[in-house]
Amino acid sequence: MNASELLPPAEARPVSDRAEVLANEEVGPLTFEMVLRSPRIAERAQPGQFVMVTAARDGGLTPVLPRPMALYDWDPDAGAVSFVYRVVGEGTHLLSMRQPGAQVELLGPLGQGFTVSPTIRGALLIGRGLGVCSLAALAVRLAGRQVATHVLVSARRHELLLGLPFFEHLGLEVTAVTDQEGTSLLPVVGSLLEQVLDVQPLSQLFVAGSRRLLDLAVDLAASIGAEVQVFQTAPMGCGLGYCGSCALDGPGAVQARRLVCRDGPVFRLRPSADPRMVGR
Amino acid sequence: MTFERRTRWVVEPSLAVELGSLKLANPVMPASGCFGPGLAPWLGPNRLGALVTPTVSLRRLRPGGPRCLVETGGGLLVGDAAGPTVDDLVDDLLPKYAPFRAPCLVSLGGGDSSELGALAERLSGERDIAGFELNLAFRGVDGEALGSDPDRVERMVRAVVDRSELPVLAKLTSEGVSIADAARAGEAGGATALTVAASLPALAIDVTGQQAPVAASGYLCGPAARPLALALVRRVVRVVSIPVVGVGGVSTARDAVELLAVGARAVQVGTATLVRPDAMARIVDGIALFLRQEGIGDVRDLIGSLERGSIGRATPEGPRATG
Repeated sequence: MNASELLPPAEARPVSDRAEVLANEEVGPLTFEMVLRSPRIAERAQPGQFVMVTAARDGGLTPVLPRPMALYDWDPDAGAVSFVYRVVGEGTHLLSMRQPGAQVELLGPLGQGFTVSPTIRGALLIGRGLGVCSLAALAVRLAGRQVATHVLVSARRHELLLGLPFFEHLGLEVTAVTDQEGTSLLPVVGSLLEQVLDVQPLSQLFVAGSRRLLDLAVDLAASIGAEVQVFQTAPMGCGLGYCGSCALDGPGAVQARRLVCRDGPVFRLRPSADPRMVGR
Repeated sequence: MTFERRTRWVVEPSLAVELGSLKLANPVMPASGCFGPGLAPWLGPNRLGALVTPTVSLRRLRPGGPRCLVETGGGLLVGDAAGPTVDDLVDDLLPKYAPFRAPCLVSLGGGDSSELGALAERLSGERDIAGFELNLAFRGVDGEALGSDPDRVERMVRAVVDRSELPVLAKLTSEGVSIADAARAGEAGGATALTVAASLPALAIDVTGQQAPVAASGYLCGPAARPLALALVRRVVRVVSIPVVGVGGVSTARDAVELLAVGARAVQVGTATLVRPDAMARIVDGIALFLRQEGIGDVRDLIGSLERGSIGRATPEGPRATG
């Protein structure tokens, strides 16, 4: 599915949508991609945003909490959106049982997405596990603007790598590393990234899915004066900024602190920023 | 061929209710902690009977972690978290509530009567506050819920009532106390109305050790709490003459109608808003639909109808606010 270049929406307000499931296919071990028809969300979505998905079946009151899902890909022309999820509990198990034609309540798009600088000189995308999926639409935008982009995809094992065909199809340079092969060890990744620097400029790094890779990215960015943006995940409740489930540690009322749902999920780190400020 | 249309005039049922001097456009409001400005796209101006703020305290009470929510059978365990201080409320929250155009009730939390009195006095001068809800589930200095002792209930309510001209709702807890005794004490202390009742402490554990945390405590909210709320509201309306606001697991219009039928003057909605952001709006619309279907012209005729014996027909299909 191709995502066309999105124009910034005039009104970025989130919507509730009763979306029809178009597909719900397994893309990896216990991992599914759900595709839904939701023209209103498809026309509003920006890379790095997410949706809250109701797991309870139609008419059901439990499980109570909606599940946050990073938007993976969308097509405003087709009016379709998708997200990738792993079955880890009751809610995601129920979602994995949905058949095409079923209705799923979506709330979104939510949060602050990635920002591509108008003067970007080169991009590095680093994603581990499911985190890779939050970077997909960003990659489309960068490819569309012909920004020199390298994508690093990391996972524990080879079959857990996600998104490789997607990024390769965009014509981007992709490196895959795994724990299994020993290639995801930080020193190995570090030297891989140094080699990337030899062949392309780099002014923005975008990271998702790994604290250690974030630390590596921050060090690298500091050494070259680049900016890092991180896609931060957190337990969520409402997705709309009032329950405090996703509040980052710190003083003050939960509603007043930085909330991953409202102030993130993407946070920008300046080269001198301490990544520990971002939270879990 | 001309098509003649005959207009049938249908009188919209009245949803307005009063809590003392507080005039509400409808009997639905959020439970404390279950509302925020982010809900504006779904709950426009004049949609709610009232607003209720998170529990406000005089000073910063605990350092900040996130609020822990744990799903459990039929509901949610909601953990404690740092709420706003008075300054947070006045400077940050209240201005953001203005677009909703509903009377704003500020939930007060304090460890003793002097704190509560000071809170009430400090906030009484604020223009955009219509009343207070005293959170008696708040832990006192001895670690017990303030509302677990009837004498303390009366003292705490009196401390707020004496320092303010505004209506005061006392949100009771059934923890460690007879709700009837707590209710009488609240009325004796001068409360305008009673909110029945705060959620109860509960526990969830994971014996596989795979979830974090393995043991989570919190207050039980959501559908599981609803039968308790019905029983408590019914008990309280029989022993006091001030209005009662029912809260606990209201998810649908039918749930709200049931609480009104046992005698609640209004209802609060908490967890259901997490399920869908427009839950309260759908509940208001659903109550109106129920009244129309039953031929009831005024919601006040529904309130307490169970006790009056004027309920008893098979409940017709009503809209569900969620699902």
